[in-house]
Amino acid sequence: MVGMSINKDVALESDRQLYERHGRAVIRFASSLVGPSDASDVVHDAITAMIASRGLVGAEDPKALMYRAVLARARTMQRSAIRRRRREHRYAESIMTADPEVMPEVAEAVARLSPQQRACVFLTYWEDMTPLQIADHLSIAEGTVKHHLARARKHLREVLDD
Amino acid sequence: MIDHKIDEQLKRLSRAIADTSPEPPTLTTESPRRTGFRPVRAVGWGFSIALVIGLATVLVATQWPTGPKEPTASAGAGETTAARVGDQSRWDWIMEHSAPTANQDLRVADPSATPVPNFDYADLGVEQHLIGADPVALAFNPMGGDDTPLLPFVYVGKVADTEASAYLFRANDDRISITRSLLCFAVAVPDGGSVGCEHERPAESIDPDYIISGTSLQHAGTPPGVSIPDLIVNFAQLPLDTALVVLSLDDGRTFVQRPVIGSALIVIDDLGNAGIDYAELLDTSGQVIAHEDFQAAWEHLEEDSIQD
Repeated sequence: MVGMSINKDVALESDRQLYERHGRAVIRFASSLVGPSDASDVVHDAITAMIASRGLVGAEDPKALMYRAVLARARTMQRSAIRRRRREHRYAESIMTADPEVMPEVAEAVARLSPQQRACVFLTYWEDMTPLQIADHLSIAEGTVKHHLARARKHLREVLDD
Repeated sequence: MIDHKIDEQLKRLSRAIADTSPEPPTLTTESPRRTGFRPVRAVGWGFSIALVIGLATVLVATQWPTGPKEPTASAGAGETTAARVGDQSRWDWIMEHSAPTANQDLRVADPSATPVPNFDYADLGVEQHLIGADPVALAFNPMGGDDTPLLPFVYVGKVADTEASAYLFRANDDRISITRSLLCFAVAVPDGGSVGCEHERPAESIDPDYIISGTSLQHAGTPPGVSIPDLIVNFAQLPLDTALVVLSLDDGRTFVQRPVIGSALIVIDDLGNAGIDYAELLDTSGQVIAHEDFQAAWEHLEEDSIQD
């Protein structure tokens, strides 16, 4: 019984090391999905649940695993229309405060995208990932990534045309 | 030029997100904190949705949830309508809450049976009113036969500013091996219509898992010359304490509707390249009764459509 506890602690430490190595990227990714004010909660809940259930040790790509867990948690948070509206507003506000050069229409349009679409946008423009890399990270089809990017761009084109 | 501007704006926006993201949180070894979200599984209500594009499709859901009945959702709304009606069959409840007309084959739904939202939902989305004006009999035989005992029809209502009307009827048809009665939801538009049927459930819904497993999407081609909306989404057997249906597209547009006798019909004329993001049911206090994500199902539907 004691031995099991020791092993668990060792594994947990390794999980934590993996989290510390990628934590910065993960929290940025979470911020792109739900905004900075909710990002900590999303990361905390997603990663602690993952460590409790399966752990990060031994995963082929722990960072991608964390991204997927964070995306799933962000989509769960989306599950209230009322809260979603407030979150979208906060999200757009935080972006415009950080960079006044970002057009309010663009910030609001991105805030209204679904979490998976936002994930594709952020990973493309911040992490310079290709659609194939994004597909691997999020465990979705490459075609879906392209689809999301095309939709997001079309939506922004309409906003900018106006 | 505009593509360049989009790229430039998205790069700026992504940098702003990265710059404003907080420090990674310190993980605790405790269970994840709750953030106020109510998981669907814990809610105890189910709803089904049939999405119909095109003409005269018949959708028969053959699965019947067999799990134990869930407790009535509390959702802060006090005693629910469903709690009062108990296990009464859905059709009996519909008949009770509809009135006969001069046409013996046609009844009209009583909209007062729907719970009234006591929260402000004006900024949740564009409201599509389901109005009960000018009931007319369904102009086509939805099951395709001449002597099938389908009647009477219950006219649910017409979506304001559109040509789409909704009806409910009950099907008992040995010809297609229906051994239990089906509750069917028919949508009529000027050039035709569509029908979706599923096993009639008690007025009190049964299994929250059915929210997911019972979802059916239909996609049929649009015959040339037919003018129908791009997308019609119908909800045929909503939990009776549903005060508002929310349907969100992934281009940011959201539609809301107050259901009538447990049914709703949302019409989208200019779908464009958008897909359905999620559907949600709210009770009188604005609490989420049920939520369903549709992105994966929608993408699958689109892929099938492309292959066709």
